[in-house]
Amino acid sequence: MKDYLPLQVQCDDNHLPLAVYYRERSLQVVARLEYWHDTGCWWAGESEKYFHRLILEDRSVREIFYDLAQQEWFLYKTYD
Amino acid sequence: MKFVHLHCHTPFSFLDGASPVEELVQRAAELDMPALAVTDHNNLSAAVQFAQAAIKYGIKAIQGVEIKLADNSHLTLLSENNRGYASLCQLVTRSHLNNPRGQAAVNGSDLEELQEVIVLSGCRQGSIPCSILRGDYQRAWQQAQYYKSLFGGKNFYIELQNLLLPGDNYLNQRLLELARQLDLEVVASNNVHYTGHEDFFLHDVLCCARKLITVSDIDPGRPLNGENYLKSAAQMEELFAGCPQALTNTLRITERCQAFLHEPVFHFPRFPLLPGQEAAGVLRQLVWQGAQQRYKKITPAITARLEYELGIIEQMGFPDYFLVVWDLARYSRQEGIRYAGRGSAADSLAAYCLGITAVDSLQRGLLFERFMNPERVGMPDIDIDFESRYRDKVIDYVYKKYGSEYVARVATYNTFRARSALRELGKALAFPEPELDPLCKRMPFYARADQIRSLLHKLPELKDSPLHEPRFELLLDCCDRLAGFPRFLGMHLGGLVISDIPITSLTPLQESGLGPVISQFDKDDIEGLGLVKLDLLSLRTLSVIQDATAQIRQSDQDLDYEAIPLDDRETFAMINRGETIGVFQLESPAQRALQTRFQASEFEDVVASMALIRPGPIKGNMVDPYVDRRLGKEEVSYLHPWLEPILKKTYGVVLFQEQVIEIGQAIAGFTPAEADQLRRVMTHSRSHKMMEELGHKFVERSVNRGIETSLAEEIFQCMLGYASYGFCEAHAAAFATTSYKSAYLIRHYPAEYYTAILNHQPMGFYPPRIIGNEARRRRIDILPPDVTRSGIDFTVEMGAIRVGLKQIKGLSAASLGSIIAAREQASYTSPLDFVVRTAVPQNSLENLVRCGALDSLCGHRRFVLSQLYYYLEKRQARENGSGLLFEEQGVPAGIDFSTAEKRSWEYSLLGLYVGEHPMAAWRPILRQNGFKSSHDLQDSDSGRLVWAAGLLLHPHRPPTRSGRITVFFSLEDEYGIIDATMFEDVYMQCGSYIFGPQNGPLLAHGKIHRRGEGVSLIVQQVLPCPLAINPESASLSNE
Repeated sequence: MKDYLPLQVQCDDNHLPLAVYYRERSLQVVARLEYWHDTGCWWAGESEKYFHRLILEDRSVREIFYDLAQQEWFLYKTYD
Repeated sequence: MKFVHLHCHTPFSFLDGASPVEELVQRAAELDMPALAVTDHNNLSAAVQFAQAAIKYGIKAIQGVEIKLADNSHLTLLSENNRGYASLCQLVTRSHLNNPRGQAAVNGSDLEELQEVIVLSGCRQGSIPCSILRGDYQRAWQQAQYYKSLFGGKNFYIELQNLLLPGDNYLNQRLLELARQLDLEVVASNNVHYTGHEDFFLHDVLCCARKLITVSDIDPGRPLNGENYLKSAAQMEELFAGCPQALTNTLRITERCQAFLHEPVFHFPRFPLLPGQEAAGVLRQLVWQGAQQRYKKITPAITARLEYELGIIEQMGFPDYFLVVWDLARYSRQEGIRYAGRGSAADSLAAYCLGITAVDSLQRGLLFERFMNPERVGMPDIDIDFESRYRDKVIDYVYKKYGSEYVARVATYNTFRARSALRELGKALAFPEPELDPLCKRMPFYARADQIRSLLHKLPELKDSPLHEPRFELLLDCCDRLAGFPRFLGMHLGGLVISDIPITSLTPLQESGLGPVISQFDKDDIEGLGLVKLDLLSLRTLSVIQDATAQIRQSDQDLDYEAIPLDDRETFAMINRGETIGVFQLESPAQRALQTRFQASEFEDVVASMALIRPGPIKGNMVDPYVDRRLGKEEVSYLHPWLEPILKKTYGVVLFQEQVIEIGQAIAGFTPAEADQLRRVMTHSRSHKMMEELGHKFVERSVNRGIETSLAEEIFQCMLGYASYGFCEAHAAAFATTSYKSAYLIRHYPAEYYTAILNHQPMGFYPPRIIGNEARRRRIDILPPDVTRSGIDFTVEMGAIRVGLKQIKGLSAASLGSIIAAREQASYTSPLDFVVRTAVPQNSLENLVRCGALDSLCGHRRFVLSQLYYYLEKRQARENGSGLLFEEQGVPAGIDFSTAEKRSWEYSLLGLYVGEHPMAAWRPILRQNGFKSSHDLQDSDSGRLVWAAGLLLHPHRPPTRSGRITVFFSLEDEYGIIDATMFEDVYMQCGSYIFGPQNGPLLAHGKIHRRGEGVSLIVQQVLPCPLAINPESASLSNE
């Protein structure tokens, strides 16, 4: 698996992101555009991931994912 | 909130469903769902199993289908009732039959025909979601509007799926918007492909197998995640929290749909009758006419029996069915097509009088109830064997008589076995083909996909298999889960149904791989639809008998097959020597071994033989006690005098299923129907609870009839011990007739019979080379193929068998025709003349020369081969109208091929030995080193240790009661065959030589075992023969 940037994410009771800590800033989630699951290369031992496409308070659109095995959040993609 | 899954795939979506039907239904019931809908791709094969499982688990079965349209888009269709189901069957039929095989698709106009069907807009491959995802909302709107007008607003739903895929959120919002704009209802589904999240991996691998890609390949058709499982109502509620009406609508649809196949229905065929006639009356008339012909004098016993049978036949609604079968028998007789009724139908005297079977069930004391009784759970059917080459003519007759719209061939569900699962899933998991191929080939062909792991530890030839390596774990996991899944629909050997209503109201039809159109249901499921199956089977033995008798009559016009005496001493003597290669049902090593001990002396012994060599009696060690009683070595006793008349013919042993019925009636006073139920429970290994209940009933009723409790219990236990091995006596008697008569023909007319067998290969237990050897052992010469004398087929020539030209590998029908046609013009005079006057291509000419078919024109094969180019140039020149046609050919010079080379070519091109058997060439050195031949073993003493050698034949491992492995195989040499037995300890040491790759003869060391007239070898060691590696080597030792 590629190396992704680990993130700190504040979640609600349903484990949905409320805020993302990125470059020492806390960015509130303004909107959740999409949410999906991806099992990845399961045959190679890769674990399942839960993806979120978010609009953050700085108006950036970012995709983050939660790795089920590592129980950690990562930054997947930032839209220009 | 409750919820119902209305979009669910089973394994009948072929590589797109990863959980068995029953497991899905069970899970739906566990989740407290009131119903489930099955929607396989262009296929309704799961319908009956689904309906039966739904009844079992107490939920409603909604039968549906996910169709693919001509533009590749999908729609989900649900039948509201039987009319809706019929509508689906017709639509699916059109989708298959109007398109090339494997490319089923529905034309848009066909949708107009749908009735009483609810339509959902489909998954992401539906045209509406697809247009939205492409950004073409207008197109989606138009499509939805079209479907609404086509199906009606109340019958068309916008299908919402939240599979946690990228874009689902957007798609569902737009779909909701569309539904609002067009005033359509929405309904939620989960596009279920498996029961639980954990089954996702198998579904993904199956998708890869379907798309012929590997798991490493990226493909939009593969699932991104494991969300397509049977989610609970709570999970669906969470996914559709913003749209509860999508969930409640699943319940509204469920209420509109009737449970599929909830009530039993029957669709008997209708036999065409004249106005004013009714089937029962016509049947009665035909039966009594037949009885008159069979018996001349009708006794009260015949009258009583026929009245009883006709009463049951009428009560169960079967007169038309009997008339249909009678008509087929009549047609076959009229056309000179040999046939023989088999199976439990031979229990019926009516069937005998109608000429359907040749077994006099009254004279044999056979019970009609075994075939038919009003309380029987399954439908009785009639099986008839026809001579193989004309069986299809009989089927054509059925189609013509009843109309193709009322007739269907029955399907088989070809399921994944160990080999196919390893190969297909292995490829999907990116194992290279060269690595998979040997792994698959080493797996026994019979192994189930979920047996691989256990066999890896059990079979010696698999002990060093790479499948033990951890990298194959995932593949073996997939194989475990896949066991029993259907891979494709095949065509049943002879199953046919005739319906009283258009057949496509009951089953979809599709083209089979072999060409004919088949139903989408197998023999069991089609009966579940209320149809009664006819089995019109193709039996090569009947063609052999027909050909052999025709040939025999050319020299012996007195032969009447029907009048062959059933007490011919010479025939029984041959059977008792175990010389039964080629005899129908008596030729296997086990049967030959039995016959040498059994010492059959009458037809009844042949009937018993049919039932004895079966997995049950062998597994239950029942054969030896039976033989001992038959030979008077063990006392025949009966637990109760009432049992004597029932069991006398089988020496006090319960051998036949009919005897269980008779015991039930005689001892416990069961009605015929109750007694047949006893038979069914016992012979089908039903549950312990059912057996216990029946035991109580049997004992209680027996006690009421004055039998002591302990004795009644003992009789029941005794029946229990034997009955699971029981065989249908009627079937045994039907087969025994053909068996005995084929033995008679072999005994008295071996050249004609073996010629006919060779002409109908593949058939029977042995390959042509063994049939040829057996003929030779009976002093019948096998003459080589010869372009100047051979016909297309094998022929009898002055008491010898001449190999037919068809036997030569690679010779096309056109080449064969050209050889015969040119020969009819004028005899061939030389190889050049042959080549020039025929149209045989070069590679076939080479084969003809190599196998010796041109020897009579020039015996120097190497020379003729060297001249072929020259001959072909001459042919070309002749065709161009130039060149000297009869130019002198060269004089044979140089050394010809060696005898060994010639024999090797002959065998590889003909599949049998026309000259010396290969073991004969090695015999001197084998003899020098003390190796015995099959001939030598005939005179060897029991218990003596010997070495023998031969070519391996038919190694097999039948099941045993103990579970331990016993291997049976034969070693073939120039004198015959040596039957050998290898027990588990030896098998563990030497099994890989038996079941591994073969490279020539085997050497076997073992103890001579004599039983009756038979000799076999109890093997203690097996080795590959070094001669095979270097036949010229003189260094062979058995030390």
